[in-house]
Amino acid sequence: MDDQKLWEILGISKDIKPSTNFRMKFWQRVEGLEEKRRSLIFRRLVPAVAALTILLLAIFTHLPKPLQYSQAPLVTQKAVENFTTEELLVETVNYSDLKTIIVETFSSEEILTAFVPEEILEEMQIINERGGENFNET
Amino acid sequence: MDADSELMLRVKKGEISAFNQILEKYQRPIINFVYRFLGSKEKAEEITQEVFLRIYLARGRYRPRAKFSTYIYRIARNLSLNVLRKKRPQIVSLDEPISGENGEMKRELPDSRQISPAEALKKKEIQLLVKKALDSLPQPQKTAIILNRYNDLSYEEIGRIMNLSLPAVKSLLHRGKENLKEKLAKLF
Repeated sequence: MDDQKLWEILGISKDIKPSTNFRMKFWQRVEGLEEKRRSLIFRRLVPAVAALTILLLAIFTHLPKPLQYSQAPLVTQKAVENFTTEELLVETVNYSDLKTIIVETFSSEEILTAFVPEEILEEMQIINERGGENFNET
Repeated sequence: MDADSELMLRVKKGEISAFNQILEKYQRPIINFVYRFLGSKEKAEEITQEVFLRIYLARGRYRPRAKFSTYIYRIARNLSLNVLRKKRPQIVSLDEPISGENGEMKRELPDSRQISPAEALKKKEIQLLVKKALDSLPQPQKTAIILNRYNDLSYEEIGRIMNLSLPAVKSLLHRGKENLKEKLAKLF
């Protein structure tokens, strides 16, 4: 038997046709699947939205309100009245860096006195007395 | 790019009606391809629906890297093989009697065309024998023969569908043909 004869014999094999409503069935399945997908998204979305709402409500109802500018001196005054210097210092250190504390606590003169070595201070004083760095001796 | 890939790109862009043209063009070749694999019209129709459904649902990710026909036949082949792996198709012989309430009786085949009952029976017998011979081939040989003989695909395209080189396809087809000749020789 040659290839051509074999091909002829294979050609006798039955050829089938799709059912007449094949396309309709297809689009119905697509519609069904998309409906299922939509309902699945909805079912997943509802608990997520509910959880988010509860979370937001919890945050906004329990968080302390931001301090009004006018209330700030009152709070400071109350803090000074109710806490010791050490407690206030510990609290302050917890919330601010050293530079901020120093700048806010001491005057410029106090900072100079506390942190600048004495010799330099003396030299600065001499320079000031002479009228500044550009003082001309002649 | 081939015309079918362009159609698919239109579907991807949202022109859903373009998919009807794909359905129209491929429903028959795919259903026959699957039918030759599985041997059941109902199952073939179900799998063909699945093939189109997968392509449609993945339209957003479609990229025309190969011919559209390669893409669709590859999906059809994979789905058919999945079914075959789960359950081997039952081959029914014409000689096998049907069990009924009144004992066993000979299988009767309906004649769909205006030919004599003897001719119809002979044709049905040949169809069954061809099917039996095809089913007895190793799966890759069977796939290559079906794609080449019934779906008129080139060796190159068969290679792309089956992930094989051109010489491998030629060799598969050659061995498949030789096996079929051997099985059918005594009958013709």
